Formats: sequence, C-alpha cells, structure tokens
Amino acid sequence: MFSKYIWSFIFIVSIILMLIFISGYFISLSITAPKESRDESVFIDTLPSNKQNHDDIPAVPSLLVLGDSIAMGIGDSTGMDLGTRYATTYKEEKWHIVNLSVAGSETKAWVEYLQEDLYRHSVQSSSLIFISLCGNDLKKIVTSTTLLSQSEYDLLLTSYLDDLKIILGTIILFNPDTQVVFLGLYIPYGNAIEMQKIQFAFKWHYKTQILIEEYPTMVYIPLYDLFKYHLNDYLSADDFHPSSKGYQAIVERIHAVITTISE
Amino acid sequence: MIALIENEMSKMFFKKKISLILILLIVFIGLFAYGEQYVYKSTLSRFSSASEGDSLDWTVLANQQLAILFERLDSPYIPESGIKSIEIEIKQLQYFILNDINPITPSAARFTVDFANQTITMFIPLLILILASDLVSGEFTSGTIKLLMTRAVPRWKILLGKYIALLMMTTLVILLIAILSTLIAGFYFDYWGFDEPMPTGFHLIEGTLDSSGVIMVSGLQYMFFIYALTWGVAVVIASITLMISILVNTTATAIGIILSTLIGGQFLQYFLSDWPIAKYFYVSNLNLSKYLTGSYQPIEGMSLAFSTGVLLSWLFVSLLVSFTVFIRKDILV
Repeated sequence: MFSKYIWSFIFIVSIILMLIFISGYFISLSITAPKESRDESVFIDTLPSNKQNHDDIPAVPSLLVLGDSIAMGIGDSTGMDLGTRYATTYKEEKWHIVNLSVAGSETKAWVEYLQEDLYRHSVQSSSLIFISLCGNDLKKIVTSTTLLSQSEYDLLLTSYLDDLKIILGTIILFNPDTQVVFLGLYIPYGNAIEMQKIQFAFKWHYKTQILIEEYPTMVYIPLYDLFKYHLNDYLSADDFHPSSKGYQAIVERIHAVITTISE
Repeated sequence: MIALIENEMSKMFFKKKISLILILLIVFIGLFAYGEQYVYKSTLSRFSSASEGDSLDWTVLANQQLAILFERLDSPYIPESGIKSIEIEIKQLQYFILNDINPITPSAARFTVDFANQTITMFIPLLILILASDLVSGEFTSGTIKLLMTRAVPRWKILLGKYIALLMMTTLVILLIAILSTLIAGFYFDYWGFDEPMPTGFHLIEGTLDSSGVIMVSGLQYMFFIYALTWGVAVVIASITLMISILVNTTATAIGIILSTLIGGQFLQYFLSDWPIAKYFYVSNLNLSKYLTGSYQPIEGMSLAFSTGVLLSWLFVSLLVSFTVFIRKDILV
C-alpha cells in the first residue's frame, strides 16, 4: 500500500518526535524540580527596616499602619500615607511610623501576613495601630455585576468575619496593650449601585463593629457619614480612593476619637 | 526487525484506526473550540451591556490592573515568593496591551494547552486504547497469531516489533492532537498567541505550592512541554494496555479492564491526601500537566518527579510481564 519511502519517512519522523518529546519531558522535570528550599531567615534578613524598628522603639512610640490601599494613602496627592499624615497633622505627638500595608490586599491575606516575623515584631513594638482592611473584599462584592442570593451574601460575610476574628485575636495575642483604630468604610459609589448592595455593605459594617467592640483596646471609626455629602471633594480622581482632603478628614476624626486615650 | 515493525504499522493503518482517531479528534476539538468561542462572545456582550458602551474598553481596565501590580511590586513588604508571579503578570498584561489583544481572547496556543490539560486523564488514554487494545489479543481472536508464530522469528522479536510500532503510532497520534487542535483553534479564533508569555515552574515546598521559582515561557514552548508530558502518559497507557491485551486474550476484556481502572482510578483520587498507597496507582499520576500549570491542590510527596517514577515503574513492570508471558504462553487457537 505504501512505498518504502513513505515508511522510512514515518520511521524517521516518529523517532525524531520521540526524542523531542523525551527532551521536553526532561526539561519539564527540571522546571518543576524544587530548588534548595529557601531559608525563612534569609528572606527576613533581606527585608529592610525589620531589625531597625525592633531596636529603635524606646525613643518614640511606634505607630503601625496595616491594611489596604487606603492605609497606604493611595489617592493622596501629597504622597503621604495615613500614618505620616496623622503625624504631620498632630506634630505635638512624636510617632515613629511603620507602614506595612499592601495595596489591593483582602482580609484573607492578612491572616497569613500576620504570621510572618516582620509583622509580629511590628505589632509587638507598636503602641498605636491603624487598620483599614475590608475595602477590597467589599469592593469585589459590591461591584460584581451579578446579584447574589441572601445566603451567598451571608456566606461571604461569615467567612470575612472569621478571618477578621483571627486577625484581631492575633494582634491582641502579640500585643494586648496596643490601641487599635479600625477604620470603617465609606461608600464611594453614591446612588450608582443597587439598594440591596448598600444594605449589605451596612450589614457588613455593623457586624464588623460588633466584633471590634468586644475588645476594650479597639475602636471602630465610621467613615460613611463623613463622606456621604462630600463625595465630590473627598474622593480622588479615580472616584474610589480618598483625596488628600478626604484623608485629612479621616485623620481628624481618628484624632478626635483617640485624643483622650493617648494622653 | 524493521520489516516486523512495518508490518505492524500497516496493520494499524489497514484497520482504519488512524482515520477513526482523526474523526474523533476533529469532532471533539471542533466542539471545544466552538464552546470556547461561544463563552468568549457572551462574556464580551455581558461586559459591554454592563458598561453601557458599544464595545468593551479593556485597555483602561488592563492599564489600571497594571498600575496596581506595579504599586504592589513597589511595596517592600510583599512576600518574596509573590514577586516573581507579579512580574510575570505584569509582562503578560504588557504583552496584551502592546499587541492590542484583549486578555480574555482565546488563543490557539492556550487552547491547545487547555485541550491537553482537560483530556490527559481520560480522552487521550482512550484514544491510545483504540490503538493498543487489540494489538495482541486481536491476533488471538482472529486466529492470525498462528500465521505470525509460524515465521522463523523468535517470539520476543515479534512482540518487540509490535511494541515499537505501537510507540511510533502513539507518538504520531500525540503530534496529530497537537497539530489538529492548534490549526482548528487558530482558524476559529484567528489569533495564534505563540509568543504570549505564560508562567510555569511551580514547586512544592513543605506541602504548599510555591511560586518563587516561576519562570516565563512563550506559548509555543509551553505547548511543547505540555505535549511532551502528554506523550509520556500516552506511552505508559500504551504499555499497560499491551500487557492487559496479552494477559486476557480477548480485546473486549482488555478494553473493559483498562476502562474500569481509568474510571475507578478517578474515584480513588479522592483518598489521595489521606491514603498514601493511592498515590502509587498509575491513574492517580496521569495528570502530569497540572504540575506545569500549577493549578492543583498540592498533595504531600507528589511532584512531577514522583509521578514520573511511579509511571516508569508501571511501564517497566508491564513490559516485563508482557514479554515473559508472551514468550512462555501456550497458543491454543
């Protein structure tokens, strides 16, 4: 049926292919082969300011900022983060600012971050902590195009609350004396989203507040009312993060709440 | 020897197996590609209706994503293991923006890889089964084994000829799958994506998936790796099928046994994390491509090297059993 030439062609092709496949297999093997496992200590040492801020705590009390992009001060045209803005506004109190926030992080990620040495040391050495946490969780839910059922909302809320419980518990465990300021959320969307979602966001805040009030050293600071009639000038150009005016308002409210404690 | 191999291969061609496989492949790849295109279209229309514009302006979204990734990279406090994957994500996004390609556009390279990922545990083994199941038992059923045995050739040479022919056909079939799915998907989607950056090289460290060693390869290289692994799986399946086919004499029984191990083995995977012995069953190790794509639940002690070891030992044992049984077998037809 086939001539000799075709057979030899098929032979050669398939043998070459086999060799190619075998080499590909070996390359894949080498790609996935684990390298010498990285030492945790190496990783910690390469990070800046870890040892330092552990050492120079005695001089001034340390203000630790944890959380998402709001804690980082994204949207602030002056480039200050939340902690720096607080310290520059109220110069009479001297603070050593440590900002360990991660833009775009969700609550779940913070359960893991807090297990790392860097975060533990920082929490242990701080006397005031600002936390801005659940913005990205809520943003994901609120901006999704689909409406979820009530039970799905409840499920998301419960898993978030569980994570938050772990995070707060960890902080208390590391440092029972530190004052924690937990920032609530504003809703940057105005009337652009469905009522059901706004109600869900309120429920989210309410549950968060209940959880936080269990700890005497923690305080929940609502921001919704602050932003409600100021969305135009308190929001930055991206219509999501606060502007420098918005950050200033947040900082002033924080100061109004904790001013008596820190005396 | 060459003549023997040639003889076996011409038998496979005469039985129209290759054309059967070809038809199956064209039908399934066509369906998959159509489905992918359909999902893509409906996603696009959903997005554009939500944004009230006539078309989805994805560049704005992609640029935003890029800005957030850069921001995250700037933070000195992200864990080191995350840096590599963020960098690759950035490269991917930049590639899409530079080439003006919507990131959710299906590409031929990605489709070909996905096709192998989806079919490596079931569909591809079944195609190999078509080739291998009656290689020996078919000769018994039809009685042609007598004609084969009357030649002045030692038995092991006959079996070796069959096995090599089977390996060659398996290799050709894998090539066929790769070429067909690339071509069909390429013409369907009108976008090849061979130079699209893709991440690979995940490791398991202390039971969790570690992405610090992630490297970036092009779509073409990625296809090559995935199909090399698929070929490895196909060869193992071919060898095991050959052994069963020699042991049971009838083709139908051979097919039944292989099929039931394949399906039963899928159920066995539920116990993988708790029951260590299940790791040594060959079906548990068929999904090799997942080690490259990194999309799997890590199981203690299972890596590409481990799975390769298990599959290789199954291959050697099947060859050993095949040859000893075939050489000593009484032939009563």
